[in-house]
Amino acid sequence: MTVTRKSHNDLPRRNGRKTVHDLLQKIKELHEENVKLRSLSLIDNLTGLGNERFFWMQLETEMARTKRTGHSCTLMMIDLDNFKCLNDTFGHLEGDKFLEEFGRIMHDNSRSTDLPCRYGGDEFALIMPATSVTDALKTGERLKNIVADMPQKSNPPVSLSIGIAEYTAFSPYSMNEFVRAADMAMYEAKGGGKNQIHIDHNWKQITFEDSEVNRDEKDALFTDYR
Amino acid sequence: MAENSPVIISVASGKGGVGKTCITINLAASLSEKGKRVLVIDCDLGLANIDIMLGINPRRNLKDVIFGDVDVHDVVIRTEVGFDFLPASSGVREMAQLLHENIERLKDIITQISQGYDYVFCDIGAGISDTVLQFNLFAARNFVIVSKDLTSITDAYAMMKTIYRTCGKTSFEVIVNSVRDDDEGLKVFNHIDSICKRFLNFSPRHLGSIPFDEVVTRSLMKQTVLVRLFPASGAAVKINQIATAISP
Repeated sequence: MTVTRKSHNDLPRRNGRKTVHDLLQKIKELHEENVKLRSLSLIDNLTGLGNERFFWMQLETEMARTKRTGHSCTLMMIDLDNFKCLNDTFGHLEGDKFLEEFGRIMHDNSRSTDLPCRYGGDEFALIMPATSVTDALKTGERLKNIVADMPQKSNPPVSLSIGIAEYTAFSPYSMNEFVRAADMAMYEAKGGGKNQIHIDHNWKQITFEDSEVNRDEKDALFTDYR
Repeated sequence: MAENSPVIISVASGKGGVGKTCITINLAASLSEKGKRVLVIDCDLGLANIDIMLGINPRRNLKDVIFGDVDVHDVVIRTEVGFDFLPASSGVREMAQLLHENIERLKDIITQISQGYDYVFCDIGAGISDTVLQFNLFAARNFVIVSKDLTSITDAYAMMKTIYRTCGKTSFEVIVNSVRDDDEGLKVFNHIDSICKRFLNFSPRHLGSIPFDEVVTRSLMKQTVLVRLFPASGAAVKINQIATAISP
C-alpha cells in the first residue's frame, strides 16, 4: 500500500477558489489516511513497546523458529490488576502515566532477545524466544515484585496477573491456541486472587475422548489378538 | 565434552512390572561396553529402585537437587558396569507428585547434566501421570516396553495415544519383553502396530524382542546387569543387538 503525503497546495479549487465542502472532504480523506498510516506502525505510541500487530508478526516468526531449531519459545501474558480502579479514581492521565511506566519496566527487565509488547489496553505480552518455563518464571517473578513494590496512589494497588505458556517443537498449538493457552493461565492467576503467576498445563487441554481407549479400540485390542 | 549433543531417551511402559528398569540398565551397560558415554536417570521419582537393582545405596539423590541446594554433579554415581547413574528417592510423596515448576526445573537439571554424554536414559514410572507425559515430551526418543500380556499391550497403547493426542509425537520405539521367541515378539509388535495404524494413523518402530530367560532373575538377585553376568544368554544377546540398533 502506498500512502502519499498531501500538502495544502494539493487541495482542490473551484474557479481557483476552495469551497468549504471540498475542504471538509479533503480533511476526511487526510484523516482516513492517517488512520491507515497508524495501523501500519508496529510501535505502541504510549509505551514505545511493540503493538498488537508487531506481537502477532513476531509470534509467528518465533513459533516457526522453534519448529526449526527445537528451542522452545515461551509466551507471557500480563494483565494489570485493579487498573480500572486507578483510571476511575485518578483519571485517564494517571492511568496513562502508569502504562508508560510499566512499559519502561518491561523494557528494562527483559533480555535483548525478548520481545515486549502492549497487547492492548492494560494487557501486555512478552515473547521469550529460546526460553524455558523456569527462566520465564524468573522474569515473571521479577516484574511482579517490581510492580508490587512501586509506590502507588490507588487502593487496591495495581499488581500483575501473569500467565505463561511454552511452545515446543512438538506442541500441537496453532498460533491462536498458543496465545489462548497463555491467556487461560493468566485468567487462572486472576481467578486465583491476582498478583500471581500461573503456568499453562498443555496436556490438560486434551479431552477424555481424545485420550481414552474407546470401545472400538478395545475390541480391536482384544479380539484380534490370539 | 561429547562431540555430539546427547540423545535423551525416555523408557516407559504404561503398565508396571514388564521389565522396563531391567531393560534400561542392561541397554545402558551394553552401550557403555561399546564405548558410549551413558547416563541413566531414575525418573520413577516417587518409587525409584534402580539403586537396588545395582546394589548401590546412594547418600543423596534428585530430591536433594530439586528441593535442596545440592549440585546435580555431586549426586551422579559412576557404576561398576560402565554407565553413570543419577538416583531418585523412594517413598517421597512430594517427588511422586511434582508440581509443574519442579518438573520444569528437573528438565533443566537433566539438560545440564546430560552434556558430556552420548545417551541419557530416563527410566520413567508406570502410569500416565503428568510427570510421565512431560518426560515423554521432553525426550528425543521414546522407548515403550511391552510384554505379551493384553493388559500391558492395552496400557502401552493408551500411553502412546495420550502422548500422541497431547503433542502429536509419533516417535515411539517398541521393545517386546519376555517372549518365547522372535516370532512371538513380532506377533505382539504387529498387533500393536496394526492398532496404532488403524486408529492413530502412525506406525511405531520395532526395536527388538527379548526372550524370557531365567538368568534375568539370577542377575537381579546378584544386583548387577545381565549383559555382564551372563553375556552368552539369549536375553543378553538380544539386548546387545538392540543396543546396536540404537547406536548403529
